[in-house]
Amino acid sequence: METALVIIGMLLYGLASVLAVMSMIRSGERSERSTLILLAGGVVAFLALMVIRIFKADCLPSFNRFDGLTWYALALSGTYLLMKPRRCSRGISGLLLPFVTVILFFGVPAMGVPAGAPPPNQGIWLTLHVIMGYAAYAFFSLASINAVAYLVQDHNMKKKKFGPVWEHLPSLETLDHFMSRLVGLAFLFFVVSIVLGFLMVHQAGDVEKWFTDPKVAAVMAAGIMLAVLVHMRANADRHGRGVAILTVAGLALVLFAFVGVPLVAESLHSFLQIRAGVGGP
Amino acid sequence: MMVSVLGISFHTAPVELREQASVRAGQIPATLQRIRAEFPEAELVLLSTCNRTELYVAGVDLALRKDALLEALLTRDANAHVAGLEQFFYVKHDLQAVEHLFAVAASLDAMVVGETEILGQVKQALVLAEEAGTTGKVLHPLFQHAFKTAKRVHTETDICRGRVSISSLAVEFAEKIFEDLSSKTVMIVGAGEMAELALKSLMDRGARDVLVLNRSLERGQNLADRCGGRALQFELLDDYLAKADIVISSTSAPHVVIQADSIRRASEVRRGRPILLIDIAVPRDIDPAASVIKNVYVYTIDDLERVAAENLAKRQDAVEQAWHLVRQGTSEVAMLFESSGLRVLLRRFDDHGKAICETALQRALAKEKLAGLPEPSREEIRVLARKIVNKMLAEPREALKRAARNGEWELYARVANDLFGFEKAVDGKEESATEGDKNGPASVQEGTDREKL
Repeated sequence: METALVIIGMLLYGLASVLAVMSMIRSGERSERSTLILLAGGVVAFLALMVIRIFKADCLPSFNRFDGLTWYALALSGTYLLMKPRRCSRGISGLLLPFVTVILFFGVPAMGVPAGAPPPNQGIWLTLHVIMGYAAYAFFSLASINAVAYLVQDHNMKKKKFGPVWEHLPSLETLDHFMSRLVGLAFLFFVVSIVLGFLMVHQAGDVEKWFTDPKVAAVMAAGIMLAVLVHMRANADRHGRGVAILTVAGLALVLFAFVGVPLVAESLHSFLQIRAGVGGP
Repeated sequence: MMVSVLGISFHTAPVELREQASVRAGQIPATLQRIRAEFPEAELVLLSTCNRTELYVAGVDLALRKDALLEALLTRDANAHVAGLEQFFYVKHDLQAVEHLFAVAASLDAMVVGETEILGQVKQALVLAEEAGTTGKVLHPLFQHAFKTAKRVHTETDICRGRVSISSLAVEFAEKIFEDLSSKTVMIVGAGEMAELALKSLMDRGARDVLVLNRSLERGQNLADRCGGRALQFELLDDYLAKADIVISSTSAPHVVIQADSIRRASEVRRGRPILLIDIAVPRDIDPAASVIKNVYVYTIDDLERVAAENLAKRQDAVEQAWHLVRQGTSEVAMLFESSGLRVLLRRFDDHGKAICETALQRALAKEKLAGLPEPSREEIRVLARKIVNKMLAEPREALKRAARNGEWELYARVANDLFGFEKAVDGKEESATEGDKNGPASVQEGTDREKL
């Protein structure tokens, strides 16, 4: 059943990505609705899969690579689908969906790897910490995808390339505003997630050990990047290409904290030292 | 079908002749009513734009009455008559006229192919004709079908994609940089005609805050007054540059008017907010070095013209596909008109069969030998006679339906009319079935009769 849902979900995501890219690079392509339907189908398939896994694990499964990346992809897709009716995200599906599909594909081989057990006695706080963390990652990643779209559109405008990509992407100012809002939301959720994580660690009396954890360090770096971006937006009133480049750099930090750290170093977030797994947020 | 169009357009006459033939929108209902007074049986719609003046007519044989109708069209108030234009008018009949209307509404028969403004003008022409009470059950559904076909052409082909005028391209660029033009400041440098056109297009899309800088403050003030903006001394250009989101420059200065350093300083003040500069002057007003400054987007007249030419070429590529849809729409309408004629003809077949039966039965039953025949036996003879006649007419009926489906309707209907003498039988009280139902193709509105075929 789980395998069937993964295959269906991957197929739907794959098709949605192909359609999204085609509609972005081909003049006159009108497949936005089909793309959204396929994406929604993919989200439903993976959501059903995760519900089954929740019942099987009797907790929120997020401590192996498959679960972690699937929640991340679902959070990204869900945020995009929720914001789609506001039209501010028009045209970025050609960048977002291939990214999400690759993320999912990267997680699939770890589907059968047993997840590490979460720290004991953390209950709802751990679940909230995880959810807030994924939401923050999703908002920040979506902001970064918008930043990529901004840079592409800026390049088109500068180089006077008025092709289908230029035509399909929204205006620079729209992308800039959307980016700004998403960075703000990401920062808010990030702070809540970090505070919850700190409280849990404090309760466990293990503070020093956790602060030397490479994952925590990488997450803090991503957090600092977010803080810098929020400051540039809110206080320094900076806009345009420079801020977009910083936001893309932020995505690299997020991905490193999320995917890269467990691959290069041992982390306390990789509970029970499951090396094939990627820790939760 | 008897639909015709009598018109003059940019294909046949230059503007100085077209303007003589044109009728202002306010005058159209009165003109239509005046023509209607002379041709009471006619349905009329008058389309008058800068590129064409066309009178669509139903119910009048224009092959016979062209001159009279043209004279009525060219007669102005107080019986003043516009003379010397007759040779520039063209006439199209039936399917050609329908196809022409569809091509006009879809902007295929336009000076700039794909400009959608014409569709609104055709719609307006129908509204004015309705006001004048000169449309009926032929032209009204025909125009509705033209709108439907035009919409298909606009949405299913690339005929309207991309803008092709300099002013509309300026708007397109602005909309690719800014989210909402209503909160943006537009600066006009040099009160040239081209800049004014671009400004008007931007204002149509919501731009409100306008700054006008011109060497002659008076001329700048005039433009500012016309667009509700502010005129400024030309020397204040650098001071106000940072405030402007969109700059359109069109001075006749022989040197650069806006220096790259000024733009760089303005961009720094704007903290990365984009600034769009459109230079439509020759020689150029804006320092070309400005194009490398971050968040500054500079376009020259050459850039705009190149994009306009590319968009126009794309539209041309879509022309064939658009014509295919127009022809499809035309043949659909033809079928609907034909199905309407078919209904009339089949009804006449029925009536004709019944009439033969009744006449023959009455004569036979009136004879002495059959006078005493009981009523049930008479009824059986009547049913038998009807069956025989229906059987005889069944094959011709099927042949007519097949002809309507195969596009051979006109010929078959004429032959049927001749063979069965329908036109003589009706003695001028009803029109020929080949011309369709006098009430027009009701099926155009009902949309179900084609299935009955």
